Amino acid sequence: MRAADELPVTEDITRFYRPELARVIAKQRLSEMMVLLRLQLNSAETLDHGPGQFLQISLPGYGEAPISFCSSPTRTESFEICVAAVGNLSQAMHHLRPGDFVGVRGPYGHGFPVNDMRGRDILCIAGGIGLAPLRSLINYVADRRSEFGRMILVYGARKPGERLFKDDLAVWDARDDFETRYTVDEADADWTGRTGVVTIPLRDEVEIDPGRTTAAVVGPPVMYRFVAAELLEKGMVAEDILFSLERRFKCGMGKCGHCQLNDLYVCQDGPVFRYSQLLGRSEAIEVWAPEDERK
Amino acid sequence: MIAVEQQERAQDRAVFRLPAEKIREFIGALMTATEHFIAPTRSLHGDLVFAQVESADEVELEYENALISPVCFVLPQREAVFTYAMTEGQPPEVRPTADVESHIIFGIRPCDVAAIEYLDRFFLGGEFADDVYARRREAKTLVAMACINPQNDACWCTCSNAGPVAASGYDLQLTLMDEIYLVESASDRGDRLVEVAGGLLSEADPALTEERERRVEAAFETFERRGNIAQAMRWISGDQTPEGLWQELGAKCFSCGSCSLVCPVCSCFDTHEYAEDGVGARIRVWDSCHFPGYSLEASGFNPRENEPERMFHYAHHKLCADTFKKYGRPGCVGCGRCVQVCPAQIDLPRIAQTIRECGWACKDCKACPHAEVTVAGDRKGPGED
Repeated sequence: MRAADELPVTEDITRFYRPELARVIAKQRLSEMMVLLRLQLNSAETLDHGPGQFLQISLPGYGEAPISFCSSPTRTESFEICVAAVGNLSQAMHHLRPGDFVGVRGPYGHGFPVNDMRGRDILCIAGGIGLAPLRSLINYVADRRSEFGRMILVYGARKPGERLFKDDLAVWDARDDFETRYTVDEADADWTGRTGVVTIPLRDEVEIDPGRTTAAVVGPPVMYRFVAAELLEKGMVAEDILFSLERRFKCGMGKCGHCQLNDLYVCQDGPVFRYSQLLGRSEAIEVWAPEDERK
Repeated sequence: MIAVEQQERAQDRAVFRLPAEKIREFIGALMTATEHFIAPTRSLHGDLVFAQVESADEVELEYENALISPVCFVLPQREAVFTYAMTEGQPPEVRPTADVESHIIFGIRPCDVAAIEYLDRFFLGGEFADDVYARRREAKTLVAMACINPQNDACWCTCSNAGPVAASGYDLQLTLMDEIYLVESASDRGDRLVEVAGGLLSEADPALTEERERRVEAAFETFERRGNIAQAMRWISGDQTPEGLWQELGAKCFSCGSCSLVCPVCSCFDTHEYAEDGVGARIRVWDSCHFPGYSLEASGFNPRENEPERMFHYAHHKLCADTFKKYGRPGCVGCGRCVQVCPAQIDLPRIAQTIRECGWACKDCKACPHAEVTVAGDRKGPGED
């Protein structure tokens, strides 16, 4: 990782927490709550991130927050993040305009193990804004399509108006080599697609060969336990189920302590974990499968 | 790593003696070797604090440990990780943080020396070596004052082999033995201080060190708190603690965070931003895993919303085998500060004791994957199994 390489301890200025300058090159509103920011490092270098990794983004005077990459590293000229307006910093980021500066540090953490996933069928399950980090993986697979087996995407949003990346969804839907299942919890008058939680199409409409499938799941914590149950029901083993965990990362480098999960630091050991790593670790993971799966 | 180097070299160095009546003269000599001299001293109201002193007379020589550990000079409660200046339409210009000047921390107790050793391994180890910590740490010279006897009834450094005499981690260590101080150097910096002291020190008879060991052995019985911490570590690492235990402890906890704020090993921090008139700083501030908002995520989900979960997390991180393997000791140096501040009397020694009492759930010690977790110096107290 680049940050570690840049660490001559005896220098006058410490670099550990020091962000690099990046510039907003495009902004797009995705839903009422979400904007997509396309960024470029001022140095014109690439961050060289992997799908599922995150960065720390900051605005002077507002602070810093961890946000997942939502663009694929195969598209090197820029990188994208998807920001929900929930706090001071993220609201200020909604007001950024092309040309404005932000600070970035990273990439941090272990993302999706794409080398282990190569040659296998990929089953992506996204809930709500979980589509944003998964998009980095989906477009990675799209750009290196021949290296992977089947590509299945099951995406559930709460309402049609909260669906993200509608352009991408249409592109993926139209591809012969993508199998997509989109659903919403609550339909509105214009919605003609599926209605119901994400586990319904997953259960009823997705057939997989459990031995050659890797599932990548990103969504609200409460979703994980139900998705895990469905996937185990389909014959998958816990090693092949990948969950991305959200935590309150302050540093991203395993020092601030906030993201600890028993003996793991989610920012460094994760944020993407195999389900097998999480089983047997107690405490609030919210991915508990049925009782008999606990140890 | 700083600590490891010291440990390896401690064996080869000479031991000196200093007549006790020359101690203030000795302190005066040390003061010439640094920009800032931190020492135990009395505050206006008589509390013992570690603070900068200007003359040797201000230094308190008979003291129980300060409630706020001198570790705060290595990891301050607040510090800027960088500062910046902003001009409209321009990218912010990042400025170096203030120069870190050299400090001698005199009179630091062995438990706090052990805490700094732990923090060195934590902050400087792993994939990322924290250069903000490193810069501050490198400017500190530690002159320890060994205890031999417990300073108060909260002391339990024997639980994790952190005292009553420091085995490593210090630059210079003083032990008062009747009319003389035994003076040991464990680093090049310590050697330089020995040179600075010049004629005040003379070489000590090795028998003096042996005499000290005898005294430490004899003093062991005077430590009132002797939790068998290793047993608690094995049980919590093997997930052998009943959930009811954490409900019970959690129900008593006020989530005030006092235990972690006085703990010299606790190092969790939050980051804040401060900006005014075009000048700003990113600041890190101590935080506590007992605060309900500590783990609250942007989505509104909180993985440790309730006290029992936070209590388990706190105790697990302090006592689990993984902490022991990574940092060479449990996340406790037995300074006893949490005993002094916890309003609910659920400090770490009591948590460890409660875990032991509940450890009946663990039936097969021979099959325990954590059987290798043993702490030298952690001996059973009278009447303990």
